[in-house]
Formats: sequence, structure tokens, C-alpha cells
Amino acid sequence: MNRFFLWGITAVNLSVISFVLYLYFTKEKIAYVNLNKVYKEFEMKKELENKLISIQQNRKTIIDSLEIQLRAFSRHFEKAVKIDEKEQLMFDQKKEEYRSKKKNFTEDNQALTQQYTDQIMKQLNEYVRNYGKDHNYDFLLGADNNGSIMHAKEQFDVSDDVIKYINKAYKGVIK
Amino acid sequence: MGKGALVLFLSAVLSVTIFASCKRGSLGCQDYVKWMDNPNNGFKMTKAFEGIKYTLQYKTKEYLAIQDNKGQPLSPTSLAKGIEQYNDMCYFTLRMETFDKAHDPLTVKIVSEDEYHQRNTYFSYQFQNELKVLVNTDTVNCGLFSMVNNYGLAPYVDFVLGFPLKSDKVSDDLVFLLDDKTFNNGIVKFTFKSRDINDAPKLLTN
Repeated sequence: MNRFFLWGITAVNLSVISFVLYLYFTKEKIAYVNLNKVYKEFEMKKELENKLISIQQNRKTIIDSLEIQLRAFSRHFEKAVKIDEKEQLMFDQKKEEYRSKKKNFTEDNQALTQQYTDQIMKQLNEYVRNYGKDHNYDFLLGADNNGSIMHAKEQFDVSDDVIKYINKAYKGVIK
Repeated sequence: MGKGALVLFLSAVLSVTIFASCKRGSLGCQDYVKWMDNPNNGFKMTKAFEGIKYTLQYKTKEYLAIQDNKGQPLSPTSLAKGIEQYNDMCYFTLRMETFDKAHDPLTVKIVSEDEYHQRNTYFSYQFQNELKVLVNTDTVNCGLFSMVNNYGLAPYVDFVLGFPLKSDKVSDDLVFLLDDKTFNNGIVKFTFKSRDINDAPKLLTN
């Protein structure tokens, strides 16, 4: 009777242990990342942002220089008794150059911003996906303060870890 | 005393183990090539974005000498000669391939034959300008460039690249930069650790 009881207890214990292990190993692994934070801290974003600012600054210098020339012309014309035809022609040419350059630069700046944003998002998405795979996540959610995640405990926030990973991946250090 | 001796013995064993794991030793020709081709050893790296995969192989001069000798064992003289012809440059092979391995990467997202020819011309002559190496605080432009044209028969395209370097040894990590404007993936970086480059295995000769 005692022996039968012992076997019974052992069987129950084994079942409980198996069930706990099953729950432990089949539990879905979920975490979330703060998308704004990850995007802001992504090295590629910082590099391209600096590049974009530098290009835009150079273009602005060209436009400003043309604007100064046009103002000088205007002041000269205001004071002049008679306007020289050659000067008038030059002024018109400069005005046209200013308009066309300003328009082209505005369009190019927008296109370049869009191009860089696309490049950043492509690489960022790929690296975050790889992070999820490498760390065996079943779900990696993106919190962007738009209500996609209403509440989550901070312990599930892996943003800092993801930032380290994506910057290493961008550098090409992670194999 | 016995305890002290045991600690000393264990320390010695540990030191030898650590030393042995740090030094890569010497390898025969075939093992050397296998070692270099193994992505875990830091000389071959891969990155992939939206259907395009980039694989970059850093090629030591020994590796190139073996390739020239068709994988056959080298004598010290032939190795020295082989290495000499590759001096002053740092060599890579870059492969761009499609994920599905069914399409020529040059045909990805194109709509006309003209576009294909334009892309072919770009990759044959202008793509060189998009490649750079950052090493020892210098930015080095690609000095040797050759696209291995397979005329669309393979789902990849290879580029043989060389960058003029003053020294074989590097003080900082070597960073390879590729600006992908064709597939709009932007700057694609590969970092080769200085430790890996400086401590590459020695090649055994006959």
C-alpha cells in the first residue's frame, strides 16, 4: 500500500514538473521597443541627418549669396538716374537664376530627405527583425505613442538593447 | 604547499589555453582557404536588405597567392613571389545577389532594357566611386575595380576590389563603406577587426 502511494506521489510530481517545464518552454517571448527612441539613437540616422544638414546649408549659402547680389542691384537701381541696359539684363538673369535655384534646391532637399528616410527605415527594420530572430522573440512590438501599445511593463522594454544591437549591425560588427 | 602547487598548475594550464586560443597558428593551403571563407572568423561578412544580399570577403595576400596557385601547396619562394605581386593594396571581393537566387541583381526593379544597360554601365564603371575604406584614420578610395560580368547567367554579380594601403598592419578596425544608390539601401558598412587582420593565421609552405 505504502509502495503504491509512493509511486502515485512520484507520478503526480513528475506530471507537475513536466507541465511547468512545458509552460516555461512554450511561453511566448514578447517584448516591445520605443520606436522614436530607437530611431533617434540609430547611428545611420545621425550620420545622414548631419550629411543632409551640411548639404542644405551649402545650398542655403548659394541662395543667400544670390539674394545679396540681387539686393545690391536693387539698391543701385534705386539710386541710379538712368538704368543701364546691360545691368538690367544682368539683374534679370540673376533674378531668374535665383528663382530657378531656389525651386530646384527646395525640391532636391525634399527628395533627398525622403531618400535618406527610406534608406534609414530599410536598414532599421532589417536590423530590428534580426534582433528579434537572434534573441528568439515570438513578438517584438513597436511602441510609437500612437496607441498601438496602451500599456506594458517596463521590464518588457528592450529599446536600449535594440539600440546597441542595431548600431553594431549598422557598423557591420555583428556577423 | 600542495594547495599552492595546484593553484600554480591550474594557472599555467589556463594561461596556455588562453594563449592557444588567441593565436591562430599555421594552416595548410586548403585549411587556410576554408578558414578565411568561414564567416565566423571575421574575414567574410554578409548583410541583406529587401531582396539584395551583400557578401564581402577580405582577401589576404596569402589567400590570393593560394588562389593563383589553384589551391596547390606553395613553396616559401612561390609564396613570397605570390605575396610580392599583391603588395601595397588591400583586396576584397564583393558579391551582390538576389535573395531568391533566381534573378540577376541587375534586373531588380527595372522596367526597360535601356534601364538594364544603364545599370550595367553604372556597375561596370561608376560604382567604384561608391566604395571606400576607412583605415588608420585615412579614407581610401577604391584603386582597383573590376566587375566580373556573367551576362545575367548567375543570380549574383561579383566585384574584385583593391584599395591602396601603406601597410598590411592596421591600428584600428578597417571599415568598408558601400553607398548603394541603385537599390536605395544607402551606406552599407562592414567592419573588419584589427585584431583579426593583424593575427590572421600563418600559411604553411612546403
